[in-house]
Amino acid sequence: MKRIMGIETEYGISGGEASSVVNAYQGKKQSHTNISRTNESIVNGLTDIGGHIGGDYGSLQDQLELYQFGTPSVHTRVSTPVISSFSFTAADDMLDNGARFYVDMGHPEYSTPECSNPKDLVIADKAGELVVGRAAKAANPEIRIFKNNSDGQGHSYGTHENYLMNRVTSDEFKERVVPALLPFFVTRQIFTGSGKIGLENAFQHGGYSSSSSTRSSPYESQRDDTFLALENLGYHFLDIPEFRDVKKILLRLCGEREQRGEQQLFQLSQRADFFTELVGLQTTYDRPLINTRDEPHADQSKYMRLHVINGDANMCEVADFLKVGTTSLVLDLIEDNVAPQVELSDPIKVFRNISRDQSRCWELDLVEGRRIIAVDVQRKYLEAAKTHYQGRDEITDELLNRWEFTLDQLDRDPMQLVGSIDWVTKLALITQIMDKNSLNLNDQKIRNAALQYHDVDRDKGLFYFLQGKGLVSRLVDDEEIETAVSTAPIDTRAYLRSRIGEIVDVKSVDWEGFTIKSKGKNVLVKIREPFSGRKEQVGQIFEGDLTLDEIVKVLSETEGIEVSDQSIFTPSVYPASKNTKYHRSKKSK
Amino acid sequence: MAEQEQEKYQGPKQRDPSQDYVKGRKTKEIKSLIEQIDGLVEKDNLADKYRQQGGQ
Repeated sequence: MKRIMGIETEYGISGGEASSVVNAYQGKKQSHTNISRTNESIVNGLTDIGGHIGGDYGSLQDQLELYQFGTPSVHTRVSTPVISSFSFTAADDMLDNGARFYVDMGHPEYSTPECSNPKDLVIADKAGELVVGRAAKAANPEIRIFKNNSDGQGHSYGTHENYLMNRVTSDEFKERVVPALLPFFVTRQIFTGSGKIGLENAFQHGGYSSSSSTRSSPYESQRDDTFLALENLGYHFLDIPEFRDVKKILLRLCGEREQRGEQQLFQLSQRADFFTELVGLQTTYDRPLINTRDEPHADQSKYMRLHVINGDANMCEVADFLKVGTTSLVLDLIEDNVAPQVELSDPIKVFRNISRDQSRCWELDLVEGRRIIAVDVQRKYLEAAKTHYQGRDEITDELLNRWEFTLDQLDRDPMQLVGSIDWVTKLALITQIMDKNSLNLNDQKIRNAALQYHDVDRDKGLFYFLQGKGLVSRLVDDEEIETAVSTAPIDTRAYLRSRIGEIVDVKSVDWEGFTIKSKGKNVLVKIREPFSGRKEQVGQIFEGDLTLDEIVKVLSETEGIEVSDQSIFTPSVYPASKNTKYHRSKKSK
Repeated sequence: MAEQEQEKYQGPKQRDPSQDYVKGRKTKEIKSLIEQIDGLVEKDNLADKYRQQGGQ
């Protein structure tokens, strides 16, 4: 298996500011300067009217909200911002392990370096937990960092996967890629979900509900919203006497459930409540199952980036491995034109329903009219992958075996997957705490435990307590993870990009390259092939005592690397700064 | 082919999720550690206070 892939995680934070965490990182780092075009869609005609702070682009309204008023954003469909340009400074660094660490919409965000396979990506993702956790401790020991995707109160933040694919046209993407991905994405949560107590945004699919903040619990907010919706609906049925009876029955049943302490649901996915569109460019509102933000950070004529925003952050290494590994296998199937044909009826509804299904049977409707279970949808992809890729390489075979084993267990008895799958592990954990204390899902202690599961602090996090007791299946070891805190993968361009600062004066750095100073001029080294710049190609420049000219010569003769003495960091577009400055006009995108 | 698959399809396996958690070696081991786990769970209103800015 060989594909460029990475994970970017917005971490939850309490007790301090994201910028203080990023700024406190004590490992080696260099300011990141964005040189790639952003916010472009693989599908023609899609636009993003939202935006985010930090990252690669920004909505002017959001920036103003955060920097002038400091209030959480309430995302809705908004019109074009009135203000035409705005710039701000945000903490944004490239680390010596090839990762990027920065502030994004109030969250510390960590993007792994480019990895060549899912196992290396698990290592890099786990190293990210250490980086963010240690930076938080250095900033303020009171700060808590959570690797999750929801605060349980209507606000979600993402863990995005990135896969480099062969470029296809807009029409090919819509006709071939989207139909093949949708059934896979809406059903993979049965093994990628991290588990969540309660519903969020149950009745406000277009954005975030800010009204819930005044109520005592998310459940009460959802219950009240339900009955409000029922009241509104009632006006259309006043002439039907049975309608009043329906409301009475619901009120009684609701009361009974509350008395039994069963008012909350345990969902598979942290994110499913927040998706309302099939395909789209936006990531902060009206989230789409398939995001089309196409930033390959590589030769755009050859490559596109698949930006996956529907997944959860994983604590379990096995779940993380399955998430990125099976997705990469499905992309292989799509690129080889051998993906299975499955057409779901209403994928958005299926995505939510699978997550919320308390029977954990996960039955869904196909367009052709028959029903199928999510496990069997996954089996169709598994079987196709086995047919075409079994025996290809060691990692592929390990993936296929684990995928099959996991689906078999999910079909027979999901709770056998404690320590491998996050939603199962979390459910087993909180169920034991509920039993011991005679509590239910809605009790404060249980909700605390569900949150503490995601705490990256090895001393406070409940996931790490279980791991410390040997109850979590390991795929990689702590030494590999520790190494990845300060060392980039050797088989992608992250190797060259992360080490070049050891031997020359680097003026600026981005995913796709860096600028060094040579003979008074800025020399741009652009690595347009992400598998170029790997150790076997350029390792010699770090071993010999080469002059700057010799280093530049080696790089310019390396396949996939372009060297030019024309800096692309044109001041009028990318102002020079210690930190990244974003200067974006909405109309310029 | 679709008809054949439909004939094979027996619907989802019937499970009682409330009983699921008692199964499994690791679940039993979690149970044996419950006193320690219980002590680690914070007593304050951590989850209620945990409020994040919406992200991507």
